[in-house]
Amino acid sequence: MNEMNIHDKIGDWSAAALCDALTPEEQTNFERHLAECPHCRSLNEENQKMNEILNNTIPALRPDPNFERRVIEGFREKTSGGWTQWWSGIVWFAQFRTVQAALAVVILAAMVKSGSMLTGERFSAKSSLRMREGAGEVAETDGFAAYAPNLSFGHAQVPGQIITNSATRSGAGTLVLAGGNAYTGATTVQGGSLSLGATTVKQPQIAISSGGVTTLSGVTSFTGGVTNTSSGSLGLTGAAGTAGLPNNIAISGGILTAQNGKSAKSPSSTTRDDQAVDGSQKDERVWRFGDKAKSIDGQPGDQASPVSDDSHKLIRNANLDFEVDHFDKAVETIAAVAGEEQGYVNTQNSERGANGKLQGEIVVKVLPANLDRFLMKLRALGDLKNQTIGTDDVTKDYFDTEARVRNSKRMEETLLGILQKNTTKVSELLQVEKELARVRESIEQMQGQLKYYDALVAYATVTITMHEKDLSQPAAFVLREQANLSIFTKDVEKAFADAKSDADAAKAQTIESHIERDADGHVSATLHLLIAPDVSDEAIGKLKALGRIQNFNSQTQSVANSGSRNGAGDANAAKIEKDKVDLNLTIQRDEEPAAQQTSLNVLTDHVEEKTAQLKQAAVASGVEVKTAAFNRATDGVEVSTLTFRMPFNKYAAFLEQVKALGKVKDFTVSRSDNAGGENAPAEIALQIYSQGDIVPDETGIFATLRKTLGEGFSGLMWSISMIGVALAFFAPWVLAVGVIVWGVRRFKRRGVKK
Amino acid sequence: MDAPDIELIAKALNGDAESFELLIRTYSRTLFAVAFAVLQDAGEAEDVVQETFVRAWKKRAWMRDPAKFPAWLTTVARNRACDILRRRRTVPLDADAPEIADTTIPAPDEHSAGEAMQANVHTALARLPEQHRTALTLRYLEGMDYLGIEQTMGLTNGALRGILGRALATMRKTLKTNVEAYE
Repeated sequence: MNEMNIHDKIGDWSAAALCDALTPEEQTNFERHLAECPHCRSLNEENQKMNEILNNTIPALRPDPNFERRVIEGFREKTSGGWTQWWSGIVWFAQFRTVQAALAVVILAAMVKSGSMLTGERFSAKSSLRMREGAGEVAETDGFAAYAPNLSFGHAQVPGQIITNSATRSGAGTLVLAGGNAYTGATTVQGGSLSLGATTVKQPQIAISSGGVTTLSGVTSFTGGVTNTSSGSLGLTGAAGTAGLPNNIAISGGILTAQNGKSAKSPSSTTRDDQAVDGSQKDERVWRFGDKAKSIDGQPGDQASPVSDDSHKLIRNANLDFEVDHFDKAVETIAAVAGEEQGYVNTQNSERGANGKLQGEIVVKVLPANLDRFLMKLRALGDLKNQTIGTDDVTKDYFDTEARVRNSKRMEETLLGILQKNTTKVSELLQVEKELARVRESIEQMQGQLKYYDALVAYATVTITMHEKDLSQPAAFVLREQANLSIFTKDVEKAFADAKSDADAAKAQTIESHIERDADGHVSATLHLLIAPDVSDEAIGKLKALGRIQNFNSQTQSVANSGSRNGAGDANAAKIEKDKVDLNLTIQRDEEPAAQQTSLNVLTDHVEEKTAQLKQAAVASGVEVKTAAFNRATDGVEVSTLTFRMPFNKYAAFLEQVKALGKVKDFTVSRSDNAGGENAPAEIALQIYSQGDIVPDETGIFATLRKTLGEGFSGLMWSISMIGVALAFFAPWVLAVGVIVWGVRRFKRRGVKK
Repeated sequence: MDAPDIELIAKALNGDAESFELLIRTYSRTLFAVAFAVLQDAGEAEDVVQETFVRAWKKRAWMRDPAKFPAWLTTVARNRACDILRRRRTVPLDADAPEIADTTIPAPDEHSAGEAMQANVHTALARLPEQHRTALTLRYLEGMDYLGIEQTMGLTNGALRGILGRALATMRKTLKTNVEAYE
């Protein structure tokens, strides 16, 4: 069998033998077969020849010995480029999982950061600076800031807590927040010093337990408190000194200095254990605090009223507003008090209102020194409504004017000197005279100004405005009646004429009257009358009798004469007058509401003709045609809209006529219960219309079939368009997912590839 | 494959340029044979070899198993060569010789035996199916043994025997007169 195998595949065996690829056993078998089989032998010989030919020819195609060198050189050339090397280095580097993870984290962080920059959101709310000891290293953390060496910040925002120096370490560093700072955390000074510059400090507690000098200089806003329990000094040095100071300073040790105290207010709530003022310079206040438990309520610098002296020219004035019981008595009191205080009543004016109440103004001049006492005494005058006291500092103006007067006088003397010399020409002399006149005028003006100032300064001006109680009580009331009357009647014209004659009989004043007919032929009239109060009831009664009263309303308004109704006065005490009655009369045609409403549509042809016929029939049978309209549309549809009104006994007969016109559709009848009787009116609203002559009204199997097919087709088109929409929606996603899957598989294949 | 070879490959793949150049020396001729078998053009084959190594260097990060590296190289070279071949397919391989595999090529005249025989063999080779041609090229151009050819081509024992046998038979038929005339 082996022999057969060799014989059948002699080509393969021969080739394998040529390549020395046969096992020794196979080789023996192969040779044995060759010896037996001449066919195979000759083929093997041919193969050997072929082998020889190939061995002689093909190796000539081998690359020359320099081949490897060339390949390597080319390889070096192509890979030595810096870019390629760098890139391949990066690619090699990127294969590590850790690098990939780090890269992903970096990209994520960048995205978060850029997002936060775009939206302005902070993603870590509580982080603050952590300043480690020694190295000046700054790291983010959400605790507090602790520091040891001297640190200085020009612009810092500290949302957390600051501890200057830790409890366990005692350093002597200074934390300086010099400007543009804002922080909200609590600050504990346990050592070292804290210095706040132009800082906005929101609700922190600065607790100084030990340590050196703490200065709050130029703090722009401080809403928290300061507690100093150390022996260190607390310095408050404000530019303005007012807004910047903390409201709450609790001090039980050390020194408190408040500088730049021109307008410095003492802290509103300050508790101190002891106080000793050390130094009393104008702009500086220093308190020293020890351990003694003694509480002093600090309201330093109770201000006295400012009074003019030689160096200050102050004009003082006061405005007061009183409500008094009796104006004249009050004036007497004021005069008496003014006398006591070396003053006088300057002007007085008063005015009596229509209700007999007085109001007026009194100007009193008093010595400035006595002003406060004078005002106190005036309090008893009555009910003080309003008081303003002002001081005008005219010092600068005053002394400026004085200086100008001196200068002008010198000028006057010079001009006089020129006049006394006779050397000048007449024209020049005239000019000098003119100039002299001008200077003298201005001197007089300025001296007048000075005198005016002197007068104002010498006496304070107190302007007292007074009015008696119940000033606004009305003197009288007027009752004004306003009435609206609306009447329905069968004959509007007659009623209108009657109303006019009634009005004339009552000697009423006609303000407006007109009668008009609207588009439907309905007549209506309006009459606006003013009727004397004593005959008004009778006149209105007559007018009411003209027809059916639709509505009547009347309202009486009382108007206060002189003074407001809201005044505190007694309204009943005032006089009451009756004014003319203002009457608005409307007369409309009376139309009884239909007892029965019928509405129907009639489908017919020749709409126009039939409408005309129906109208004629209606008139003949005593049916009223209320409205009629005809309309023809472009598609040939004719529509005629009609309404009829008739007594009820004619209704049935007429309805039959209407029904006979054509095919009746949408027939509805509504009947109201309250109207009854044989002659209660009935109304028919009718629409006569024709089919359009373009589109026939199709029925039958083919029409149905076509309709079904058409609807089916449009449904099909709709679903196709919906599929399109769905494709458009999904395509990008499918594409993206496909790309990702393709990339991942490609990447995997790279690794697995043989 | 030998252990030192794998070590060398691993070193080269980690970016050691010297080791990689050693690899180039080791594998360039094999790759040349593979590329030549496809392209039948020494110049183009050489380009392919070079490109293959450059590509291998750039993609070394993705090669995780050094043992698979030689086979990978072969595949890359072969694919690259096929790409080039496909691109030039529009131009007939040999305008003079009709593309009929069965036609025998007549033996050359006596006096120009050497060169003519070379050309005839070349033409005959070109007519072989690619797989057969590769096997023959690796065998005769590179002088590779059976095992080497199998590894390079990714074949099993029996398959290569058949391929070589059939390739030789075809050559024999095509160059029948040449063989008969050969002394």
